[in-house]
Amino acid sequence: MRFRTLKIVTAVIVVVVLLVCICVALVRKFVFSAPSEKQHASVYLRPTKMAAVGFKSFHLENHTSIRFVISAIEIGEEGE
Amino acid sequence: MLAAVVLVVAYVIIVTSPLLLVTALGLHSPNELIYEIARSIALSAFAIVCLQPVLVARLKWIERPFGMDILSRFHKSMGIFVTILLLSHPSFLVLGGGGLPLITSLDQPWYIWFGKIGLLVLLIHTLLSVFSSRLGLKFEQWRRIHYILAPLIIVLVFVHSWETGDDLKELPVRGLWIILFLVSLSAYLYHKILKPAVLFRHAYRVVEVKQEIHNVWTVKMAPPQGVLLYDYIPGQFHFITFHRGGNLPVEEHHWTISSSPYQKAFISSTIKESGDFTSTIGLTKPGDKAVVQGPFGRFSYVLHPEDKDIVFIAGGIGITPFIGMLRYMRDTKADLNVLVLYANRSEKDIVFRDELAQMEADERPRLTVVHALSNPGTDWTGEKGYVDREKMERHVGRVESKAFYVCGPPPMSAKIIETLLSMGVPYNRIHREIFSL
Repeated sequence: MRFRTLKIVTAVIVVVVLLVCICVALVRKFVFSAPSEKQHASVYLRPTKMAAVGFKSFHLENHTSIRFVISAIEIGEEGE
Repeated sequence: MLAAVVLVVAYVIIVTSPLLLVTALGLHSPNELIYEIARSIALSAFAIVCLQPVLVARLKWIERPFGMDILSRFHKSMGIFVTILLLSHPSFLVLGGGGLPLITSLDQPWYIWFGKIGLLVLLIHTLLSVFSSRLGLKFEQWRRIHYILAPLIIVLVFVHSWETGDDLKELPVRGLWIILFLVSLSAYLYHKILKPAVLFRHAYRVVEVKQEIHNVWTVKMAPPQGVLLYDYIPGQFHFITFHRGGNLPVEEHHWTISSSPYQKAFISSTIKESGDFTSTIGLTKPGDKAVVQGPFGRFSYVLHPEDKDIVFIAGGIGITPFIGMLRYMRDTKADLNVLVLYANRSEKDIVFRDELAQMEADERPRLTVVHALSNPGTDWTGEKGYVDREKMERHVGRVESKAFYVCGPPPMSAKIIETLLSMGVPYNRIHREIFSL
């Protein structure tokens, strides 16, 4: 492989990775359906580790959503 | 060519495999889109980070289709790319609703700190790599830092993603994470511990040290009894670590192989005194131990059998791959036309002058050697000045059907290639060797 080819291959790989990142994010956000409310309760209402430093949203089956902004939380055992 | 394409496709599949897996699992996310992009970036970045040690572990089946210089540059490019990706990860999380405290708050769980420290170490490491020459960092110093920071980054990123990532709660994703981490760790341990230990057990011995000119030495090495010299093609290079006792430094360096593969008794490298380590090369003695790892590289006419009219353009110590190739042509009585344009500063800097003259007098290969001196003495009757377009047109003649091989200091090589392209030489007929990895 030559250096010019390497530059092209590297550029193509970079573009492909970025495109796949964006496409997967789009698919996960808009294409995949939300789990049931009960599942949400177990998935999103527990104080997950990310929740300790950010926010968490959860969706209800009627397509409304609630967002919790969590500024500080003691991380303990997972619970519902 | 096919092997290279397969490896590139495999690389793309592996670095996108976490994304493909979470998509296949159908994991929905209720977060903002930009937040999701941040998570996708992190998933792919982890795979890129884990493959970085594999690229430069000197695995023959990966190196052979590309050449070590290409792989090293790709490794560096992907290192910069993954740094940008991982810097954008917390930025997008914040923009996606994570809140600025994600970055600014000190009151955070330990695994978030692992991520922050990992990112900081990665950033420092990448800046040191990109600006090493401007910072006056010697290659050996940089390499020591690299071998410490690189595994540290991988461990920090692994622990951070393992503890933090929502997707990592899924068993298949956890499995993939462990596989990627183990592949990365294995490549590092193979490169740093296992392979050096094996090579040390079968270390070569220095059999001769010959001074070629005032600052250039040829070191001949032979394998231990009962061990065959490894196969190589002329123009390739290898890594050598000399163990010479006393206070002489023990460092690994890569040098071009200057011997002909036709003879199987020894292998040699011709080394110029150009730094702290190489200034001691003349102190190497017969009997000293030399740990040799090779061969690597694709700079060889042997890989291009269609080339019958060949032009070698060398600058200074850049003659070493060409002398290896010319010796092999001589040993195999190669039916080739070869022109060597050899640039040096002065007469005393010309390496292998007598041997080149002898080869020129022989029938095969049909060799013409043109010396060009940028700072010639008053009695010099040969070419004066740099190898420029005028000299090339005069000596090369028609460029069609000729293949050009260039090896010399980077500024000279760049200028020569630019000139060759302007003369109408197709890019695919210009072969280039770059010293630094």
